[in-house]
Amino acid sequence: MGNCQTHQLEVENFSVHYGRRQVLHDMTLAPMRAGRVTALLGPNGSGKSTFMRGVAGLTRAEGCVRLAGQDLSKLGVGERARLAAYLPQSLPPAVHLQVIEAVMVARRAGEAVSAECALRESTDVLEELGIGRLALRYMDELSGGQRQMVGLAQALVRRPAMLLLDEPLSALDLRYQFAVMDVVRRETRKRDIVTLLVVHDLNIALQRAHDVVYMRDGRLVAQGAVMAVTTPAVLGDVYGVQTRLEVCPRGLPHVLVDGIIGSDG
Amino acid sequence: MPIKETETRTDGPSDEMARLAARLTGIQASYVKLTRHRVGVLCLMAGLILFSILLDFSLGPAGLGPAALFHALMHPSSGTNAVIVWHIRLPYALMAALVGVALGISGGEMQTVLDNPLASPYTLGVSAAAAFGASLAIVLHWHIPYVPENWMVPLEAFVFAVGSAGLLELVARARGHSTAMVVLFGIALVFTFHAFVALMQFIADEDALQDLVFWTMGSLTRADWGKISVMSLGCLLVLPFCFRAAPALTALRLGEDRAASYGVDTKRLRMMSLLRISVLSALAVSFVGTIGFVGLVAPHIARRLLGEDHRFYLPGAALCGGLIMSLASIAAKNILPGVVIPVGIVTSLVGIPFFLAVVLRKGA
Repeated sequence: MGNCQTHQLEVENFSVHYGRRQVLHDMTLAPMRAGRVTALLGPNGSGKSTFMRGVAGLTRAEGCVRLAGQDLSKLGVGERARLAAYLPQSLPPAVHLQVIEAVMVARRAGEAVSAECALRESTDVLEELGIGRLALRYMDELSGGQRQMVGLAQALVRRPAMLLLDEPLSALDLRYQFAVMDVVRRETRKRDIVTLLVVHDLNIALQRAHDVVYMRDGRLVAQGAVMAVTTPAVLGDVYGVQTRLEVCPRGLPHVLVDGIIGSDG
Repeated sequence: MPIKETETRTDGPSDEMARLAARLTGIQASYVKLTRHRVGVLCLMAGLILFSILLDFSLGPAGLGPAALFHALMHPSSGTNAVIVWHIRLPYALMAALVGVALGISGGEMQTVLDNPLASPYTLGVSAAAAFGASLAIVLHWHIPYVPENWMVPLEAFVFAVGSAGLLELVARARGHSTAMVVLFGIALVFTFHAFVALMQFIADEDALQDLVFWTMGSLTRADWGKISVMSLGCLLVLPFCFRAAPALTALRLGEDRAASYGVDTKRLRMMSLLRISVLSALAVSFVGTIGFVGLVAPHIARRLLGEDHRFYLPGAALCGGLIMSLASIAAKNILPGVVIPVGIVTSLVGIPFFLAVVLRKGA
């Protein structure tokens, strides 16, 4: 599994239009390396989801998206889906399907894989994510957090080279927020994949991501290793809030918000 | 940065491996068992349909005994009994099951494609549109050049069914697949086309009016071998495509974006699916008239019994539809002695017990 040679995601001159409205403005990012979790941060409406969908190939975009040197825009739907796994913002729906079936569907939907093979790989992935005991439960019996773990299993069973997660934590309780982040981090390193995720909780991003990308109004504000670019100045610029960064006795960074800067409108 | 990946494995690697292997075997065995169970349920349904068709065939106002039925069946040109068997009993019984299959699978696909448990050819106006198209052929005698007479009604019904399904898809797409919007639009279609059909009834002459009334009530009495051939040909041509699309439809059930991210071309899938739905429901409606309930309820029963893996769910919806229609056909002939009630009137009466038994029994 995985490539021996660490690959990277490159995004250059990336723009997206919805009709006449330009949502993303000519974004060029530094290469994002495999094995590292990159958090995409920014206020509502800053274009994070659009960026993810654009990179995943679900929204038409201009510019260049290269993964391991391969231009994704030149690939067909199926080939692109094989390289990039995208997890939409909503939780997997509570349908009357067993967890193992739901994961097998993800494995088999895009390519021809035998049932036995899909079954074995799906069971393996569920075990790796620590939810093997849910395999025979029905999706409509699971909690939101458990369903999100299944969503991750669905993405990982496809053995992607890149994982794109759009707000994977937004519907989860505190415990599952950290459970999902830990799994994402562990699998990203183990499988040596490029992982990009949108999160709203700054503290989780600070503590669990390796790199961050700050966006505002469809433009790149800052990008780099978490502690290197997360400064009160950047946060003020991106979110319009006054913040302090403190490191707790265990060495984990925390953002404290003191107030907002200026007024809206 | 001082962040550690937490590993919470306490037992040794060999224990772990053994435990994993045991669980893997357990899950595989149980998956195989589940698959077998589902195939079993499908076989049982198919058996029930055959039995029901047989029962439908052997019961009727003429009160023929098994021996007389068999004799007439073996000797197609031997008097009144043969006419009853070959021109009434057999066509009615087969048509009922075929129409049920077509409506059941249409409803099943529609509920997935429009992501709405209320979707069915009847509730969203496809049936009403088809009936209006057919009424144009019957009442106004609209003819399309080079099309044989007996193809005119199904063809015009088909054109309108496809049109209304296309409208539904357009609205679904424009509104970002908002469930409420699609249902509202479908209901608007139902009312619109019902109004048109009423208008047609108003201006129709006596014969045409009688034909039209058959639609609005849904009746098997117009079934003949020609129509059965067309209907079965339609099913034979379309059903394989439904089943081939089953894995992709299961993925679509998990959400549009999710399916797309698995490499499913969701737009094409939706388009093709709506085309299949239009063909099947238009054929069914144009031959036996508007029949509600089956297309709505058969998928719900199939979902409960077979889950939502569409490789089982779609055949299940088809078989459930066929069974309900066949039972309805039996009821239609036997509720009132000597009278054949239009089948559309009894489908819901026959279907409701199923519905209550299977769908409302939640948490089982």
